Amino acid sequence: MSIEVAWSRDCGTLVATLAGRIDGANSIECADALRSGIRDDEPSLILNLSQLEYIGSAGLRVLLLTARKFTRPGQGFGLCELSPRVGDVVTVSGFADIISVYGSQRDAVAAIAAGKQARTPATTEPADGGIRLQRSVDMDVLGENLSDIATYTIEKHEFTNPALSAGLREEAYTAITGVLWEEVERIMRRREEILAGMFQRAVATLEEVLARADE
Amino acid sequence: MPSAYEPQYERASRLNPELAAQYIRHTVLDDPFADKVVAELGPFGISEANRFIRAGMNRDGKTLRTAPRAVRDFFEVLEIPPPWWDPEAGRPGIRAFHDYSDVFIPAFFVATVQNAATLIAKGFYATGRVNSSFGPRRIRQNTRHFIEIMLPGALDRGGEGWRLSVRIRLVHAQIRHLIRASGRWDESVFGAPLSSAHMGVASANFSATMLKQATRLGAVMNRATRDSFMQIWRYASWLIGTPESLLFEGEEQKTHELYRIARACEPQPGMESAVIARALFEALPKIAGKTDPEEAKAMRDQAYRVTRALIGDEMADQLQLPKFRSRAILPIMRNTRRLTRVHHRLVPSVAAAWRSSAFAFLLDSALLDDLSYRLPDHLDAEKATPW
Repeated sequence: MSIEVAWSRDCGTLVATLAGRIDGANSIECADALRSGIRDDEPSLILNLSQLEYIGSAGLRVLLLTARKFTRPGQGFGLCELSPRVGDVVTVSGFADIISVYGSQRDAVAAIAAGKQARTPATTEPADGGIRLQRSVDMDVLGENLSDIATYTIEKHEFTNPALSAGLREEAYTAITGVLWEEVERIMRRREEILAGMFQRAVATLEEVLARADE
Repeated sequence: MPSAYEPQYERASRLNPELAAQYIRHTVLDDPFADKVVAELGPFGISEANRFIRAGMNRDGKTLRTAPRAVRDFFEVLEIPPPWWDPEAGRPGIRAFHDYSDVFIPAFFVATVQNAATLIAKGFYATGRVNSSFGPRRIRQNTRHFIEIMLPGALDRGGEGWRLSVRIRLVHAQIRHLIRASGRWDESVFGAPLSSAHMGVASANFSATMLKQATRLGAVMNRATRDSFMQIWRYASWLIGTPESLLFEGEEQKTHELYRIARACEPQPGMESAVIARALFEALPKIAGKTDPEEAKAMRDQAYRVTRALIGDEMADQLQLPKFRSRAILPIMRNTRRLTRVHHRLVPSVAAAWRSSAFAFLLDSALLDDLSYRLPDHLDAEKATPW
């Protein structure tokens, strides 16, 4: 069975509706069909899979490679309206953790129009218009979660400074968590050194005890 | 008994006389059901044969009606799964594979190397296909099949896992036919080419042995998950043509025992096994896209280290794998994996990026330029139409 690709636009976002199945026998054909419909400067793409009856590993690869064309800031990509069978494959394989999946085309279009919201600091807007932090400032709780440390640090800066742009916030978050992970690795290495030292002390102490017993 | 098995048989039968005798009985058995398909397709020529097989795979009843009787019967029988197969029972195993794909894929590679330590290697060698493209193609084909059967619905009648498993069975039958026609194989010495015994030992390796290796590399799975994984391979092996007498209802311990006794029965790995094992290791950097010679060497060396740790020095030396100190490698890998999982819990963005590249690597390592249901039309690679 071949694959059919129908192109349309929804609120300006390019949508490709795939019908049939994608397997090893037609994955190249599918990849070619998708490639031919995407302009070089296309900002976003939604794949509507409501009519896709089956997808195998070759098909997942086609989706992954297509998604990679839309990873620059400001671009968006998502799957929507997966049939139960295809949804099962996407979920169990973990693919849904990598690629955004939406229940409806409307939700997908709205999400892409709104831009990616990953790791935006959690805020609420109280009635007086100010911005308050949702998270606790309890250092013991915070200290266990590098993500929360990074988020809190950024939010604390924004409390008394102009808000960072989305791109700058993302860059700051990534840089902070990267540095904190280096700290964690340093602590773990130090811990291993301490443990090794403890074993050496234990051996040395045993030798002292045995030496005293021989005397 | 084929004479190649005689020297080891006494020792093997001391370990488990019943199972050793059963294994040896299977060394002279082929796959009559699939062999008949290939025999009846022969007079039609390879193009027509491939057309009929494609029709069977795609349930093209109109074309199948003009196919030989054996072809129609073949697909008719396989249309209905055996009563013990329950697709839902395979879900925990499928989930475990995807959770631990980073250890299952190396474990799968090691199982492929272990298969090479049997007379399966001689079968490959007889095809003359052990050239520079052998390793990458073998790894990609095997990995593709493995990944495919580990997707929900893949072993349903229309699923890719079903098709690839059945394709393997027909390709085996065709290769068996070509080897026999070539006159290069002495069955009184080596048994049937691609015998039932070898189907059994390969199935055991790709199921129970792989589970064991994945566990040693850091996968944590409960009994129900392990049983589920075994059942997936039980059905896939059944489709591939492994006789039920060597599937042991997919019970992990019995399947382990089959591998243990098969190892004891099989002749010591010879030159063919060493060459094939080497080809597999040489293929790894190519598949991973490592073009820098130092990076490629580092990857191969690590693979040798891990493989030696998993299969043991005896088999590693028989396969002439380079000697590396490997005692600490498995604990280090398990710890590294544990730390990686902690890291991913703490930094979800890193976890997502890792999963994305790991998943892409998984799919890339199984990529074949095309997938057809064509059968090989000649034993020698140079003379065969690409299939």
